[in-house]
Amino acid sequence: MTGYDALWYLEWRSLVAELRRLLRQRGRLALYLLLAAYLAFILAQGGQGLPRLTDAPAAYAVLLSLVYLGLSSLGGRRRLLVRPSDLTLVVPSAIAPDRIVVWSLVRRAVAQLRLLVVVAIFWVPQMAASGGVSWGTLLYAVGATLVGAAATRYALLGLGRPGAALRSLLVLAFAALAAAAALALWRSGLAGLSGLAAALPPLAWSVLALRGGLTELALFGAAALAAVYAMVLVAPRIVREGVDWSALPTLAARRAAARAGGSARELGRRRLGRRDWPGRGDLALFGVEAARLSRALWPVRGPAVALAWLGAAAGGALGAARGLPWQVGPGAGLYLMLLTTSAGAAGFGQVLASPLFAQTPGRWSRKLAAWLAPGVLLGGVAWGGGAAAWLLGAGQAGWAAAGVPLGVCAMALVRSVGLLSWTVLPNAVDQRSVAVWLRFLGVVLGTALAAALFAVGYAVQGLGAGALLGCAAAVLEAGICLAAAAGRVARMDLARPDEGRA
Amino acid sequence: MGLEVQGLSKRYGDVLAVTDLSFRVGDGEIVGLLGPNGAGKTTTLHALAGLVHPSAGRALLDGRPIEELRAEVGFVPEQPEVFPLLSVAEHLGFIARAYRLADGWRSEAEEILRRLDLDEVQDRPGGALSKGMKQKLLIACALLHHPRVLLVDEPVVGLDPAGQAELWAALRAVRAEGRSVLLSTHILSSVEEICDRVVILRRGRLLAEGTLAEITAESGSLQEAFLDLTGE
Repeated sequence: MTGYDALWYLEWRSLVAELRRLLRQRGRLALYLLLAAYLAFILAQGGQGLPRLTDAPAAYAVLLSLVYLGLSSLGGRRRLLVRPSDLTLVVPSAIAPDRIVVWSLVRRAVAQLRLLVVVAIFWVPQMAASGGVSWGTLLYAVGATLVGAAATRYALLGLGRPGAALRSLLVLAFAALAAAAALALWRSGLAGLSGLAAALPPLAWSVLALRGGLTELALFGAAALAAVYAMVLVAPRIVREGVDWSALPTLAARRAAARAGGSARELGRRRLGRRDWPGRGDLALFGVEAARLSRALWPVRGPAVALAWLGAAAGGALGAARGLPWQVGPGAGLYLMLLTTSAGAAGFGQVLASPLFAQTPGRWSRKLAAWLAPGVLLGGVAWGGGAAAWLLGAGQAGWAAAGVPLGVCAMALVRSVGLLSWTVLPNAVDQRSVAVWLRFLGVVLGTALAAALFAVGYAVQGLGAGALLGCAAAVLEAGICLAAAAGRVARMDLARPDEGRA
Repeated sequence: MGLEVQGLSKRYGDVLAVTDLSFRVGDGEIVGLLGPNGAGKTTTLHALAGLVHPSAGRALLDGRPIEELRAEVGFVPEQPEVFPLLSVAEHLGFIARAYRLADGWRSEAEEILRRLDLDEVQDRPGGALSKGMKQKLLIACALLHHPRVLLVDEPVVGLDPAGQAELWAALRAVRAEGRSVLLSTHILSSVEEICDRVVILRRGRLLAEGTLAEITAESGSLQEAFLDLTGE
């Protein structure tokens, strides 16, 4: 057992230290206690009073969540070891690489489970619905999904550069599968999520597994174990490739600098904006963030791949428009909102601690707005475009026209609420747990106000006026959150934002 | 026999960070790894420490591949990253478990902490240490398991003069025990003070290897020799 005892010691002492810190910070502690009390209340009530996905029996709702969890675990950051201290103290130690990757896998799965506690609340009402899924099956399925997806991701990382191509293929295959399913729904006229599951054998098997089919459950577990076995086989390469990836940004910066005919430092200075050019700082931040996001979009590079993505997305959205009913109830909206707000703010601290922000000239509100803008535009166009395609497929052309602007405004609200929540609770652990609820509540309240104004405008002057009022309300709320966040950021010690906070 | 690097190369995409590098670090010897920024010093140390996968070549420790002897290698990285929540003493507890050290490690850990002037902060969490203290802590972690070869990357950055003196004393003690040290640094005066031999790199290739006397025979000083060789 060489190594596991050391890694267990590391995690145990870290947990004890984190709990001690929590006990010293009464504000944080109160928030956690409130969340725990709320969870207990909801569980005791069996989810009564919470909205349900009106069209979806339990197995389908859970299945959708598993797909979400699996994809989020499969994607994300490329690095195996996210803490810098892992590279300096764990990897060079005598601990065998296969133990390091298994430990990292478990840690990743547990980190995802923390988030799952929050998502699980939304499963409770679905569990109570007919055709329910037992808690044992649910835990088994969640564990197999998280472990299997993370192990697949690590095994692909172990293949190094070919892994990037394989991941692209995997994503494309998934998109093609979704498009094929949607088109099958379109042609056959099957309705609802149950139709989607029936159209694709993998989904149908998964539904059977969630309903307690022993053979399907065994297959589910076997797939996860196979992924873990593949991961352990390439463990030494995974550990080293994980480090190699972390070295790449530096080398990429050097190459870019060489192409531009100067040093990396000079290139950085040019990108950061010129001190003697007032007002350029926030634009430079916009450019830096846009460049980062474009790198994150590596799977869509190249015209052929981009076209395949567009085709898959359009097919998926149009197929969904046909397959999913026009009104899926408020539960679906809330569920989608929770998923959207659950991610995104944990990495803010690392980004804002960069001297890029402190040294770039300009007011914090403008700098933060410029930094958030590329993500808002990209996410807004993606979500809004998807919604527009869906609405178009459902024959709602008027509503479809409002899809993209509404999507961008909604994303602006989500991201600015996320930023504000980070300024209140900058600790990464909080951001994956209690802050999810803060963000969710903020977005629900903001959306409710925007929706009310939308309804007023719609009633008085029609859809155009409603969309205009709704967008204006969302942008105004986003601006208020941004201003509040900027005020807090200006007073924070960005190098160590979570030190000594209540 | 010590450490022997044979034809080591490392490629990142289209960038060759290290090219066909060969050199030796004998028992009871401190070798300085010199070179301008981007010369490949850190990549070389990372490859020897098992942090990156060499594209070609190998490294032998006492005639055996270094990958098989990870417990015999100590590494002090350039970036002093420590576990933010673990105390100084708990860091050494982790190392003791990772290397399965015998029961007496605690008294030795206390001695190392005292020697590096960390004994008074041993309950302080890693995240609350200064950069110099973190550097000393990583040195303590690398020394605790008595490695056959110690790889040290830019160790004096962040250390005050007293800390530097403590580090040199520790490295001399390692050498006196017949173990090997490979030291990467920009500070040439440090090299003159402590190193037995030097290896000079530029753009990933070996430019020169030899004792200080051999390297400085023509130019008279290490600085002149370094500037002549690297063209800086």
